[in-house]
Amino acid sequence: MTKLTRAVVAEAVFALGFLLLGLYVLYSAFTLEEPGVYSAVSPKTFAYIIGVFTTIVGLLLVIEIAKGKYGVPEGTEVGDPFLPPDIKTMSIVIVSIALHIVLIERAGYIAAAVVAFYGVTFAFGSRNILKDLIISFIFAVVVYVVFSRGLRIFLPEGFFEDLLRLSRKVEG
Amino acid sequence: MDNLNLLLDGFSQALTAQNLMYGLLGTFLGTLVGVLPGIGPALAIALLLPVTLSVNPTSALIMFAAVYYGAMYGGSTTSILLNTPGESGAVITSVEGHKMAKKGRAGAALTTAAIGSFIAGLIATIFLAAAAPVLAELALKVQPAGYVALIIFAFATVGTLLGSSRIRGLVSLSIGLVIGLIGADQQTGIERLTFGVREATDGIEVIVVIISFFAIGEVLYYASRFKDDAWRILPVKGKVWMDREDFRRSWKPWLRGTAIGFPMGLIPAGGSEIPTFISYSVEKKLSKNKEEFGNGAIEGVAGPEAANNANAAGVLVPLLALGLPTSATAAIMLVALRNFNIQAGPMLFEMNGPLVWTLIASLFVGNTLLLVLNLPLIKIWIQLLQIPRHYLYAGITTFGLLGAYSLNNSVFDLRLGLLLGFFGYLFRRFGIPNTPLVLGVILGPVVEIQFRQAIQLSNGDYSILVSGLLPKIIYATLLVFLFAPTLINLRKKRAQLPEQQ
Repeated sequence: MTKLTRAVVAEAVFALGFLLLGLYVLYSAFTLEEPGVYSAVSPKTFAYIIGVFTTIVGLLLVIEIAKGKYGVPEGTEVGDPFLPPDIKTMSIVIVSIALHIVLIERAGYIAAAVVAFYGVTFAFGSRNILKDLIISFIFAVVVYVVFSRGLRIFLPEGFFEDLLRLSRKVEG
Repeated sequence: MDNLNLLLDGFSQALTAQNLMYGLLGTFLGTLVGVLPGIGPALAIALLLPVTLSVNPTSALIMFAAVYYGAMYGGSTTSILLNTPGESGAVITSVEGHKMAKKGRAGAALTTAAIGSFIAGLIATIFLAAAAPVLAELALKVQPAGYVALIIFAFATVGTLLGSSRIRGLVSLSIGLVIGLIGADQQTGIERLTFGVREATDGIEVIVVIISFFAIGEVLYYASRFKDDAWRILPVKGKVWMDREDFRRSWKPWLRGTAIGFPMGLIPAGGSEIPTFISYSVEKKLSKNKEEFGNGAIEGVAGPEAANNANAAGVLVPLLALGLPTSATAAIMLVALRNFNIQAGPMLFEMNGPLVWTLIASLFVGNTLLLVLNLPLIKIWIQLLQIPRHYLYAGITTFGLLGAYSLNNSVFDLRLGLLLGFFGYLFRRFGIPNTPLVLGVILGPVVEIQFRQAIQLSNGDYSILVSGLLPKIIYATLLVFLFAPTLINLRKKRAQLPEQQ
């Protein structure tokens, strides 16, 4: 596929997905149970309004795209050549965030933050592994100490957090 | 003069040593985060929200006001030196300011932006202090139907004025409204669009939506364009200060920018994009150096920067007096106020009088601190721009995740953050503006409440929505506003047709 048609397919998929969202909201409003308690306006009403609105906007978007009016990606001008997304870089970022989510309550905040920070650094092309890991670690520890000790905002604890507390006890 | 006394009380609150410290810290952090490329004021405030959660409301508000102005200022620095406007209001600044920087006049551009922002902020905050209580008093008389009309007006203007295409603005708005619908209905407890997920019953946290869209979405978008984007930071050569000629050319644009920006902040007219554009074209018309415009005219930085800042203060008037945010930044302010159990709206000045006046006083203090702190520190902020891109994005991601998690200590919010972040990527990819979404999420539930109250008042008669003077005026204005451009275009086309044949 040429670059242009790929962009057009992407637009069409996006518009149809959006239209489906509108239809789904309508469907869900339709199947919503009536409340047992009295209310002047049923919760269905607003769901209907938003569903109808979204569906209409979805149709308008489909028409706009059919007419050949495509979106202008941020940071580009009308008529700039469309560039396919860098799937590899994006995937590494997404996987790093996903790992962060998996780890945060299992391995503690610091470990999870190191993974997210280092992962994004790696995704954006840095290959200075040792330096980046050290910076990730320092960043994570500083954020943890400032937020959980300084601002008293709860962050999950794990191996590194225990280590931090231990070192403080030894000092004390 | 009662309000003046209240304001002075506010100052006495804001100017204690401890609160001044928070003010300084806020200015510093706000500028620090705002200066980072890719972070606009809205995201800067959202990211710094967890920081303000743990201090007492007064100090937090002061810090907040300082962060607000600091982030705005930081954003203009980035626009001038990097040509990456963090928000729509800074687009013009980046056009003319970046050209100035290319000509080696970055110092003058940064200074005129800083002083212009200060003067605009000062004048606009005075008007804010005068106008907000008056408007709040008027707003007490507004009926629910009037509120419904006002919010619909805000939706329509913000939805259709931003971005390249009206329909794409509405796409953003409707996705926001759908997100706002998620959760248990406030009145009946009926769950809507929760998919049986327990955590979704309470609805979706607005701050999570904002952080995901603005931070995660931004990083993903940059990742998708990683190969073809390169940055070039322009050095600040020569003297940092402006010379006499620069001053002579700047002071009128500062004042005119303020006069344009503030009133346009009062009406829900789609944020700071339009006033900055108007200010730019006014300066271009009035300038004796027209040929310089497009090549780095200082008026083209001074005017729009002042307009942008005055607009930011103007936006606070409907926010405080009506509870009606009209920009993404104001929307986040509303959420932040809610976190301190302060309900913006007509009752605000009666219920939380001292706090609000402290907030307004803090705006003055923050604005002044900014000038004092930042003019000498310009060179340090520039150093920040040298942070390698990979660390910058890593920092934005990690900090965004922290913000999303720490609100409720909820892994669900993080998962949601990743999902919505991907939507944020899609928005950027398909040229869909973010602001209407944020307004939809926040004001969707509000308009439903007002709608229900209106119908309840009328015993089920829907005609109440268009009865009364205020709704009629608003809907009439809206119709003119929405259809006038189309009609004018049609007439032009008709007029042109015979000539073409």
